[in-house]
Amino acid sequence: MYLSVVGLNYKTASIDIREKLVFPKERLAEVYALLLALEDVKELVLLSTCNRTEFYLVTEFSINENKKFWNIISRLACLSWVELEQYFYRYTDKDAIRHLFCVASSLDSMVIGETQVLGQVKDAYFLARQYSAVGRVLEMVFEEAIRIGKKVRTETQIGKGAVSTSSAAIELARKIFNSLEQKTVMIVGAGKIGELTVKNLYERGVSTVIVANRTLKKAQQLAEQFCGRAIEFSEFTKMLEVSDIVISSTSAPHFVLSKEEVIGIMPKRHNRPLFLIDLGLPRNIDPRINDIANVYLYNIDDLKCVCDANKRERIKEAEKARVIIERHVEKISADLVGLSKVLV
Amino acid sequence: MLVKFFQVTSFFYLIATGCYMIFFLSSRSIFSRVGWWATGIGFLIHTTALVVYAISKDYFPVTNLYESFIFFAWLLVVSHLIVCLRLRDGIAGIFLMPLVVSLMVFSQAVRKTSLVSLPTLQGGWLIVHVVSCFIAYTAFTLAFGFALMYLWQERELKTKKIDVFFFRLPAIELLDTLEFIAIIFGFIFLTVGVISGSVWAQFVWARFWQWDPKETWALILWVIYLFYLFGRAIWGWRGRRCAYFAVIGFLVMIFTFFGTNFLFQSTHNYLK
Repeated sequence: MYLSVVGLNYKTASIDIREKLVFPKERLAEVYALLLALEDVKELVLLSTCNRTEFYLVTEFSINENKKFWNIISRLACLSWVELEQYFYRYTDKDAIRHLFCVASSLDSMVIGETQVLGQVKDAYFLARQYSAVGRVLEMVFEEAIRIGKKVRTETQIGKGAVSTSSAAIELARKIFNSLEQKTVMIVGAGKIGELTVKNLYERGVSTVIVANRTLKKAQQLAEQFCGRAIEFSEFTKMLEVSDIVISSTSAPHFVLSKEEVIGIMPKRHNRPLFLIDLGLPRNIDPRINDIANVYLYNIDDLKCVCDANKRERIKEAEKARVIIERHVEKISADLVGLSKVLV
Repeated sequence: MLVKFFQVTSFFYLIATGCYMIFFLSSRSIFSRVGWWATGIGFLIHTTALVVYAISKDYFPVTNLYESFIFFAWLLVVSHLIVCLRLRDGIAGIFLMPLVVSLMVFSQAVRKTSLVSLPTLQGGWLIVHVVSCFIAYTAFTLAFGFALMYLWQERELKTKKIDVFFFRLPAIELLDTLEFIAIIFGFIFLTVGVISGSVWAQFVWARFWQWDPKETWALILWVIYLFYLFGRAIWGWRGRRCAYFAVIGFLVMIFTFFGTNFLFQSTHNYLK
């Protein structure tokens, strides 16, 4: 008896290939029916997400030899097997288990430590159960994979640290201010990332949102989304007095905020910390402002650096996760050997 | 016999220190919990031993360097437990526990050379004096720890270099506030300590103040923290400048505490 996984992911196949083998829920019934009709396929779970399509199979004989199976795959992809073969990876037994555990723990994801994939693995497993495609082997392996996915998340720091610009901004805000409640955030200019960052801050309990924009109308529209206040663009320097976090994303060709202005405003703020996020390109805020005490200025590159540092941390954590996974691979393959004796 | 108890206490504190260090570097919360329990067990033994010691000697055990080290360590552990409960974060343990362990070790080192208790060193005012001063020292030590963490975290935020400390340290605004609270607290107790000391001096030597080195340094210490409080309340000081003050204050405090015992001839000298 063989436990194997065959599939392709973002590492082996570009999007134009992957999109041919994406199976939305509506098509699953057809695919399961086709594959389960094959004499040799005992159990099957199909995991299909935008980054990967994988078939987890339990078969009597090696799946590599199963012409009919590969014919169906080619037909589903509307590509000849010759074209398709190069994109597929195949793992059997221990390697297949290890692969599934890595996928569920998001070690195999584009962004290591992301949270979605575990949910996708769970969904795929429960859908397969609905199609009665899961037997004792895949049941054991998938339930263990889901457990390990959770375990890795709690026992390592793999999901820690922001890896996107807007979440990095929030993480930094939290390192400056203990809690975001009672804080005021001002957005200057209505850029897309700026808006997204404000939205995230708002969801985390920022109490007041102020929007300054060259066209007041646009400012008002944006302010409405966050029960905020729109102000004239010229007023924004004055409003620094009451703001704690300022996000700037104007398309101005020059600095809209000078060092002198901020030096002037700090005593009025009683030197409370001020977090400035400059998302503009060219930059909106004079970089020398970072030298002022209690002012923290981050531009888009700085935020990227934070993300990169966090990604490196996650890669280190992934090594710890691999140790956990390896331990469980050994354990479950021993269990499976026992199980297959019963089944045979 | 009691010496053994204090050694066992030190052992538990040492375990706690190790756990907090590992926790700090690895962020595995299990180590924080073990550290907390080790501190707790150490603290119970510590408290029991102190009480038994006090009963057997029939005085409040702060009359010489050996006793005061042990008492100071005890207060630091109390402060650690309070901060830990309030913040739900054992982070203060990372600097408090190594200090506690060193104090416990030092106490053993100076045990033989510590004075036997003097008749002048007893009485109600003295207890108020010494205990207030030690509470003040404890608070200033905490403030120092928070200030160091503040400076570290602040530097990382300014230079935009992120490392393991970044993830473990609390927000700088919180550290700044905690440092402030600790200093207010310490300042009040230092004031009480100095006043009760001079009242007691009036009883014993019929002089409020005699410009003894320790008195002078305590006054300098008091002025430093007075400046700090003025700076915050009136001149709008915040953040790094305050943290520097907390560090300087702590260094002067250490000097006041140790220097007068080892460097000067002083009525506050508790070593042979």
